[in-house]
This record gives sequence, C-alpha cells and structure tokens, in this order.
Amino acid sequence: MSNQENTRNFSIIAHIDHGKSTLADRLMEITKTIDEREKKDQLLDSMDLERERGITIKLTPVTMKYNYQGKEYTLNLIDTPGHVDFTYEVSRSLAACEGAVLVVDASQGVEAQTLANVYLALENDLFIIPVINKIDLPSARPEEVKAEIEDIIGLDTSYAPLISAKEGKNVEDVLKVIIDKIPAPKGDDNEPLQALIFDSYYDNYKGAICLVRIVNGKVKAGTKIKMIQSGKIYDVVEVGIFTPKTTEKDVLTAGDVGYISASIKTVSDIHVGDTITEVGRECKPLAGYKRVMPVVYSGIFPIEGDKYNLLKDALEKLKLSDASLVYTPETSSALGYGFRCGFLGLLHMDIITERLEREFNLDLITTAPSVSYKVYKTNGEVLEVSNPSNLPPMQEIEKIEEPMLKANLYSPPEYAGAIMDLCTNRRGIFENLTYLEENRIKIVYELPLAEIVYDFFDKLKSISHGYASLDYEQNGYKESDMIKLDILLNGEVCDALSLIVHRDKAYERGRAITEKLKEVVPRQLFEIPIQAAIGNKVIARETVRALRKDVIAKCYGGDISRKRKLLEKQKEGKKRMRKLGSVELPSEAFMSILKID
Amino acid sequence: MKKSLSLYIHIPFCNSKCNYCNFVSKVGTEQEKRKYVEFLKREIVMRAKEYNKLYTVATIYIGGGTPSSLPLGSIKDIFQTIYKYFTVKNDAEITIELNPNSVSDEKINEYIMSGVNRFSIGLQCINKYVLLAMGRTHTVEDFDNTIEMIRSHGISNISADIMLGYPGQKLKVIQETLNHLIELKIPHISSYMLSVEEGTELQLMVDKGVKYLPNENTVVKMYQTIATMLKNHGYARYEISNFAKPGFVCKHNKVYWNREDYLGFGVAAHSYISGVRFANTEDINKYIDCIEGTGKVPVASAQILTTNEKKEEFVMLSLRTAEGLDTAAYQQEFGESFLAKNKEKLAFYIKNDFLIIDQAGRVKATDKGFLVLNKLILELCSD
Repeated sequence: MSNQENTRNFSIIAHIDHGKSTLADRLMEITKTIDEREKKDQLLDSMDLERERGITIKLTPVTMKYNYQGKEYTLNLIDTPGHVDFTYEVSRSLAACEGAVLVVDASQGVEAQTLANVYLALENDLFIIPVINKIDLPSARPEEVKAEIEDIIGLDTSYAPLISAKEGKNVEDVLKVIIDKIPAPKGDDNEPLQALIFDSYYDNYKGAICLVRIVNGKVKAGTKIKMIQSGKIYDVVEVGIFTPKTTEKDVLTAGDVGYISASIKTVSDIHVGDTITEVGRECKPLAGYKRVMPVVYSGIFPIEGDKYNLLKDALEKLKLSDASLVYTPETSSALGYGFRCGFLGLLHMDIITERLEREFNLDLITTAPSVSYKVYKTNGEVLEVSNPSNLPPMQEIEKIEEPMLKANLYSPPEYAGAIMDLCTNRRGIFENLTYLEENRIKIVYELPLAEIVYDFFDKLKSISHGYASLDYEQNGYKESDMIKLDILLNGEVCDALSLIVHRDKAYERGRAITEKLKEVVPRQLFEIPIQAAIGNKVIARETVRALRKDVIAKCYGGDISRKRKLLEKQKEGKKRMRKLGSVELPSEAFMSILKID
Repeated sequence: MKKSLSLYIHIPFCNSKCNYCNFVSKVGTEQEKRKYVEFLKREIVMRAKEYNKLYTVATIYIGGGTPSSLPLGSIKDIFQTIYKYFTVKNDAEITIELNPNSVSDEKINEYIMSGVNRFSIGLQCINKYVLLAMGRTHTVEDFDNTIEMIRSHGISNISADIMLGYPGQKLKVIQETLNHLIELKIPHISSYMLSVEEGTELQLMVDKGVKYLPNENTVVKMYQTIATMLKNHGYARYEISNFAKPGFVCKHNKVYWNREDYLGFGVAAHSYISGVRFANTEDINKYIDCIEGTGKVPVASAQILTTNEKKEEFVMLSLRTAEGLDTAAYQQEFGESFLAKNKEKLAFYIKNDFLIIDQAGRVKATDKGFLVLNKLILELCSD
C-alpha cells in the first residue's frame, strides 16, 4: 500500500529544445531508475520518428524512488506531447498530476510555444516549478530569464533551481523542490475506485493497456472494472507501474500512476479521459472527458496497386496502438483501392503516413486533406461528407455546413496585424483581442476548420518568427458557400484531385492546381488539356504540349546495355504512375497538389 | 560451319576530352598507352582460346576514345595479335575511328596496311565556334585533309559523325555542315542529338545557366532537315541515326541491331554471346590488375537475358532500323504475335502516324515516330 504523503505526480513542460528529455534522463539516473549501461539518450521518446523530429508524441510515464530527509518518496513523471494536434491528450495527462516542472532555457528565455501548455497546466490547477536550464552556456542569462518568467507567467522564481541537465549540475535540486513544493495526492483508498485514463498503448502479448492515475480507491488483479463513458466491463488481469519497464504490483491505490491490463482487444476500446470504476461500487465520472474525433480526412492509396492488402494490414496494426486513427475502405477511379483515413490534425496525418511508409515499407499517395461537411439535400437527407467524390450534384444540395473552430492565438503585440491579416485571409471572423500581459496578447477568431488544416500553423509560426501559438476548440457548424472543384485531365474528371472549397477561393485554387499540374504531368504523344471546373464551368485551363522528340543517340555495342537499363528505369517509373483514361499521372502529381498554398 | 563474330576494341584515350563526353576515355601518357595495348593483346589472346574454335570474325571495329591517339605502331600490333589468334574472313569489314586532330599520313598508312578498310571520323560540326564550344581541337580544314589522306590510299568507305542540338548551334550551321559533307561525297553519315550527361563539363555549364540549349522545336527541325537533305542526295536512312549511300551501310552496326554475337575487348567494352550480355570493368587499373594478377578476363557484369528481355531488345533494336520489326521473325522466335499483343497501342500509333505496317508485315517507325522512338519503345515494352 503506497503512502500518498510520500508520492508526487508531475510532468515536465518545455519548449522543443529547452532540454525536457535530457532533464528526464538525469532524473532517472539520479534516482537509479535506469543505470548508465542501459541508458539510451532521451529514453522517454520511444519512437524513432519522435527522436528525429525532436517532438514527443507518445506519453511514457515513469515511477522513480528517491530518499530525501530520511524518507523514501515515489515520484511519478508523466510526459506530455508537444503539439496542438494533441492538446486534449496533454490536458488529460496534466489532469493526472498535481504539479509540473517548467523548463526554460537560460539563454533563450520564455518561448511562445511553451505558454499554451503552461496555461493548460494552470487550468488544471497544477503547481508549477520553474527550472532554468542550460546555465553552462556562455550566453546564459539566468537572472533575466527568471525576471521574464515572473513578468510573463507570474510565477515565483525565488526557489527556481538553476541547472545544467546536460552536465548534471544541480539536477538533484529539482527533485528536492518537487518534493517540497508539489502537493501530495489527496485521494481516499476506501472510496469506490475512480481512475483517470490518460493514455493507452498496445502490447503484443497483453493486448491494449490503460495508463491510469488512481484518484480514489484501489484496483488489483481480479477487480471487475467498468469504463464509465464507454460502458465496457472487464476483469483486471494485472496492475503495475513503469520503472520505466512495466513492473507488476499487487495493487494500485489512490495517488498511484500505473497501468491496468484487462484483456482489452484494441486501444480503440480505451478512451483517453474516461473514468474507470468498480462494477457494483461505482464512483462519479471525472470531469473533462471528451470523445476524440478526427478533424482531418485524407485518402491513402498504395502507389503500387497490388499493395492494397499490405496497406490494410498495416493500418490494422497501427490502429491497435493509435485509437485516434480511423479509416474506411475507399475506391478511386484514378488511384484504385485505398482507405479514407481520419486524423487529429496534419501532424498526426504526417506521423501516420510516415510510419506506414517506414515501418511497413509502403509507398503511398495521399490525397489533399479535407474536413467533414454536413450536406443538407433538397430531399431532406443530411449527409456527412469528407470525401469530395461523395458530394452530391449541386442541384441536389440545399446547403452545406462546414465545421468551425474557436481559435485562441497568443502572441507578442507586434505581430497582431500580421496574425489578423492571416485569419481574415482564411475567412476568419474576429471576436476579441485582449492583453494578457504587457507584451502578450490573446486574439480570438472564429475560423473554418478547413482553412487551418493546410498550413495555417506553419504560416502563423513564420509570420510571428515562432512567437505566436494557437489552441482551438471545435465550435459547431456553419452554413457556407462551399463548392466542389473538379480537375479534368484530357477531358476526364480525376476524382482523386477533386476538392471541396469555398466559392471565393475556387478560382485562385483552380489556377494554382492547373499550373502545378502542368509542371508535373509528363508529356505524352498527344496534347493534354488540364482544366479546373465547377460543375460544367471551366474556370482554369493549362495545356501540356505533345512530346515531339526524344534524344536520338547512336547505338553501338555498349549502348544496348545502357538502353536496357534506361528502359528498366522508365518501366519502373511507369509502374508508379496512375493511368487515368489515356493520361499517365505520376504519384508526385498528387503530392504536389498538397503543397500548394 | 563456324558462326560469324564481330569484334569491338575499345581505346580509352583521347588527345583532349570534349565537353559533352562521358565515355570511358582520358588523356593518357605514351607509357600508359603502351601498357594498355599490352594488356589488350593479352585479353585478345585469352578470349581467342575460348572463341576461335566456334567463330570466324566478320567485322572488326576499333573505337574509343580516339584510336588514332595511340602511338605509331600500336594499332598494327593489335591487329597482328587478332590475326594470329582469330580467324578473320577475307572480306571482313574493318573500321577504325579517327579524330581529325590526331592523324598523320603515316598512321593512316599503318592502319590500311593492317587491314582497315573503313574509316569513321568524328567531325561533329564545321562551325569553328561550335567546335570550340564543344571543346574539340580540330578545324574543318583538318577534317578535309584527313579525307584527302585516306582517299589517297584508295579508300572510299568513310563515315562522318555529326551532332545536333549543341548550345549555340543554329539550324543554318547544321545545313552548312551537311552541305560540306555532301559536296565531299562522304558516303556514310551518323547524326545524333546532344544529350547532356552527368559529370561532363557541359552539364556544369548548363547547370550554371551559362549555355543556351536549342529548344525542342529547333532540334526537331534539325533532324527533319538532315533527313530531308540526305534523302534528296541519295542517302538512305537505314537506321534512326545512320544514313548511307548504296553499298556503304555499316555491317558492324547491323550486328548490334540484329542481336548477333560480338565480343568487346578493353575497358568498358561490352559483349553479347548467345543471349548473354557481359561487360568489362570501366577502370583501367582494375583492368590491368585483373589480367596481370589472375590471368582472367576482367568481366565486371554479366546478364543472361530472360525471354522477356530478349523480346524487349528485339523491339528496341529492330524499330531503330528502316527495315523495322519483322513480325514473322518475332512470331518464330517467341511463339507469340507481336501484333495481337499490342493491338490497341499499335492502332493508336498507326492512326497518329508514328508507325506503319508494310505489306511484308514489318512494323516501321515514320519520320514522326523516329523522333519519339524511345517513348514508343517504352510503351510497347510495358504492360
């Protein structure tokens, strides 16, 4: 039975390269959770992809033991992902903690992106401990950075440890401050079981595993549990903690952070934010639960048509460990058989497609991302449409509603103009502008989701030199003048290139797409018109001229081998092309459409 | 009866490297050249042991690089070895490539005394500025003198190479070059288009944007002009890049297009024997070390062609020729009908004047088709 008095649950908040992972590594070393030999730098970021992108996607908690003033303390570190796509997951992880360590780089100071998570932590009533890192750097200015933290966030920095996680300097102070300052959990072991699911993962042998924070009560092998929101009931097979390997325990009690294994088939049965309780002795659900819904949809097709089954298997496998991924089979006349997949955002989409290509060795074509529209037909039917090909003919449509967001944009005041221009350009409706601090504003816009799924985040970062940050929540649907923009190649509609766009943007976009396609469609032995059309009305046109000549070369003995190789290469290239009527389209053509602003 | 064999001998040396060239060749020292010839002879001897029993040599072609850049006596040396170890037909066609900047009457005399009866001369262009831009170190006068020297020995079987589409080369320059060759009554002309190859000086210049490449329409016009002018002066286009007066078709080249057996000697030389393609190493040092160290032939790669690959080569090579693809021969060799297999594609190409089928069942490229032959071959070789 654990002693809540001696337990501290915390997470680490930091800007991308301010040293979160290095600090976590040092804490695990000091507490002998891992020793030097088994250490692989930045242990918490477990996937290669995360390592490469320097972002944490997967939350991996760890339980550490530390002796302080004659008592042994249990310190549970819960890691958080760092991207707007995963805001909800971050909030549930933070909800599992009583405190957070805010790591700030001693030379960079407070960075815009950090703030969104700081505010999220404050919303969850966490106690925040500022830590100044990288004091070994010649450019370190710890005193100024402390003042910045006090000014911008309003935290007391008098006890903030000044550390160098890289060199291991003063890191132990961080542990001491955590114990001194972060409140102990205040649950009751005798109350009915109440556990917060903050994450899940898939184990090849045990099935889907819940990562939980026990708020009240206790759970052990044999307990019959119920997920309150999903209503599903399971028998617990095993409970345990992360050290950081899974380590079985007899029981988890109030205040503990650990895992519950209960022969759950897939992670889709586990909803982050849901509350676990005991059957027959049920608690109240914890606040803050939201069903995570995909916001962006895209068609994913194998470049080589015969790889469809491999793609299907790969998606099934990924789905086991990623509940937010949804997919249904889709057929396109241009791309053949594939899947329409739903994602939490563009980063999530990137991660999934990259994992499919890397871990399953697939080459994919991804169609332009789309959101899900509500289509009201004249016959009274209402459809949810995320695939432009499924949009009914215009004459059958009474109106289309598009999903809206309430977006909060945080920025230093000097970028307000640029940010507002960007939002207006993206059909945003201004709602509010407030000063949070002297040099920090919050701008609130109502924005169509479709307008931010492309590259809004990148644009925002670029116009604000990285200072502006964004969080958003879904804000219902709104009627909008959306139309279907078709792309025709040699007179035939290429379904995989169709888009649903706002009428005001159709011309611009049609022009951009036809121009881009002209660059990437290979010349054939005949002329190919490329047209953008709304219904029967062509709004943009380009022509790919017919091929008139190849290079005529001499052919001597050695050249036959050269020519053979060239032919092989060209044939390989052809295999990767999609035939659309009489036109061959390289997969790059589809990709290039995604890259148009 | 013994089968016919063709020999190709690669001489990887030039007096200077042209800006567009990425073939295996270098400016070598006299010592390097002599050493190379020694090993070339050893390779000829090794191969002859294997092949002389089965074959008689019908054509020999010494190419490069620039064979005429070898020191006096080397070519004679090579031929003596060939004659000693191979059986060469009396009427064999024996060609050597020359560059107008590295010949002398003595050398030409040596070649002819060695049995050479056909000369192929790299002219490329007669315009001195274009020649300069190509990095070639001869003039049109050097070319004229070379022709005169060859003819003074009673040899008339001469070919000239010309290139089209070089940066700065105008259509007018092509016309002038052709007129010059026609006036000189050169009976065989090879013409081919510039292709900017990796790792050449020209590629560097093009990447820097310094040079102006003629556009597609101009190059198309150049090729059409050549085809028309030569046709009007009694030359036949017997292959996509080769034109000849009656009686001057190159026999050695036909071996390649007809997929007959040939052996290549020297660095980077390719061979084709009974359906197997193989090639020597491209590295002179490796070439020498291998022969010296192991006493073996320095083969770097070999490929036994599959039936499908043979079909592709049949299509790829025969469509280059004026005779075209013999559908009966195809049927006989592969047991399937070329016409039936490609029915829809052929219908499209014939309708759009890229190909024709003649009375004898031969599929031939048209003027328009020759210009896009690579594309047609790719389509006909893909599913």
